[in-house]
Amino acid sequence: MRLVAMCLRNLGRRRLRTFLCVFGVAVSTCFVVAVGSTTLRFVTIMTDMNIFFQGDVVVVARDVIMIQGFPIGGVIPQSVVDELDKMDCVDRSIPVIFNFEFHLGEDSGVLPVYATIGLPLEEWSMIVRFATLKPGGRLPEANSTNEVIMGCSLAEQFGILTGSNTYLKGQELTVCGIIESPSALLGRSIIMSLELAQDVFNYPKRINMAVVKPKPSITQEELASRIEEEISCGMALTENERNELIKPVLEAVENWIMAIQGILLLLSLTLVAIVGMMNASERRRDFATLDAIGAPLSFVFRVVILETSLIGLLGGILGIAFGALAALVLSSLYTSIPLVQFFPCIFEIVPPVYVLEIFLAVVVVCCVGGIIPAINATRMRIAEVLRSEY
Amino acid sequence: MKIKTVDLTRIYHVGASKIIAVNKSNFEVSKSTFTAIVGPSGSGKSTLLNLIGLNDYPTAGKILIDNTDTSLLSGRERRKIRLFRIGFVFQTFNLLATLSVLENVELPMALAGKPSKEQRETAVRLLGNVGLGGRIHHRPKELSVGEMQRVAIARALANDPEVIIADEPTGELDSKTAEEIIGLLFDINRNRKTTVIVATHDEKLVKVAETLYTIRDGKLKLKH
Repeated sequence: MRLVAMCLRNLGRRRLRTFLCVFGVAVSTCFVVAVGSTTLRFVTIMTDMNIFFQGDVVVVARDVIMIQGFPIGGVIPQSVVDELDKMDCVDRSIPVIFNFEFHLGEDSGVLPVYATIGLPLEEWSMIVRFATLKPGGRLPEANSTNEVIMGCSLAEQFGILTGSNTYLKGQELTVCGIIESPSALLGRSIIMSLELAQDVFNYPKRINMAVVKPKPSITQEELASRIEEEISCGMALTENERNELIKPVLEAVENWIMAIQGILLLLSLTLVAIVGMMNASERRRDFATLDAIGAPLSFVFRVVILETSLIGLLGGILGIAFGALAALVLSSLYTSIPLVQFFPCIFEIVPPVYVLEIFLAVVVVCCVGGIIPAINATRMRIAEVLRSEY
Repeated sequence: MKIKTVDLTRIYHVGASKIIAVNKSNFEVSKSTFTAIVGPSGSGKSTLLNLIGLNDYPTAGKILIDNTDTSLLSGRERRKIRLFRIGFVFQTFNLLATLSVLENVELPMALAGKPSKEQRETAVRLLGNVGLGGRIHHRPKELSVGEMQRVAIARALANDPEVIIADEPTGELDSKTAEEIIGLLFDINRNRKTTVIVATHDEKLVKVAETLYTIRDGKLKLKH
């Protein structure tokens, strides 16, 4: 503890330099935490979407962009479902309308602001089984023409309660239930009957995906290849194929983020090493004195390493605090969801394990940054330093 | 501790020129004696002290400590001798600015692995002995030069060394303070039976020395 106090006092001798170094490390850490957390959240949401339609084949329009199980745009005729149902390898097929919306009023987000899912009422369990309804809520009734259920995040943002009315594409809808789900997609979804979705989006007799359940003896691969032979207007994707479509994108994102994090940590290391070298070279006489009074080399080494580690510790703590805040701001900016809505789920946006990893990485990097200055400090020739410093 | 040098030589190379700082010097100090080395600036006093204090390596010749050739010692062993058996007092005090007076004196004991309580008690006692009992929590910059040199002497005594090597300990001091420091070193030699080796210009220091060496252009001579 005494050594720590000594190192803190040594750092305090050059307050501005220490402050700037801590600031530099904090800025790097802030950037790593903010960008890393936001990307990690994006990747988690994308990966989470894979829980839907497991074991099923999804039929979508040809060359449509797919995010896991869901297409962005692309339309196929609803009659495809009848054709699919006639195939002997199909147990049943479910028509779905899925729409990502990037606009909310006048705001336009880079990431989807909400999603609309339309599917036959009898097949709601396919989606809703991943969520629970808030007390007082219920699923839409079979004969209703304007009832929807809404994800809790979306409902909270607009102050919508069970029984409230809302408008979508100019059409008045009644929210009969609010769903709570760990899935970010469902939390930001409006789920309604297929007919209502076709009406709202003006897709008469059209859908943009069909979820096909294979008969027990049929594999997804066999089913997909049969569908592609017989159905000309769409492509059939198995679970593996859907994963493969998004995998390169997610991998590329993760690789870029890792590269950015690596560069920032390298910059921190360089900064700490330079400041460590300056400190060590200014304190040549102190180190020579320590050597002259018999201090072991390991003591001098520890002093320098501890000083750079303390810079990492302070920079890391500050960087994480500001980085977490920046991650929330980024999430809010890119989704048009108000910032306050993110505060309760801060640990979902900025996972504690990730923060701990970054913190340890920053401290280790700063510790490594101190190695060269520490070696320099231990290699001084006492007599020469004492003579030249008089 | 008995220190003896045999044909001790230290040569520095500055660019193309060769400087013989210590030239085949034979030097010997016995236990509990007060030895002074006198010579003008640049004569090689500090180099000689750094050599016998094991802070530097000779170009030629030998340094024997208790008849052991120090050239055979490892860096670790030399450090151990510096820590436990030799106390060094520098002309410019060389106190660590970020440590308090008390911490500066405790430092050699901490490096020697002594318990905290013992470090504190010994440091307080030593600082009391050098007349700084009331300033133990001050920082070096808050002290006068005389007080700083007293702290340096207390630090040198921290691990109860057998030898104190002082390189011009009164060089930075006014005559009154220099007298006090000379008295302090003399008392240490007399009361603790610690061997004292001093490099100096100071006539008063020369007077209290039992053995006197002179050095000029690196050549050492025994005066008395």
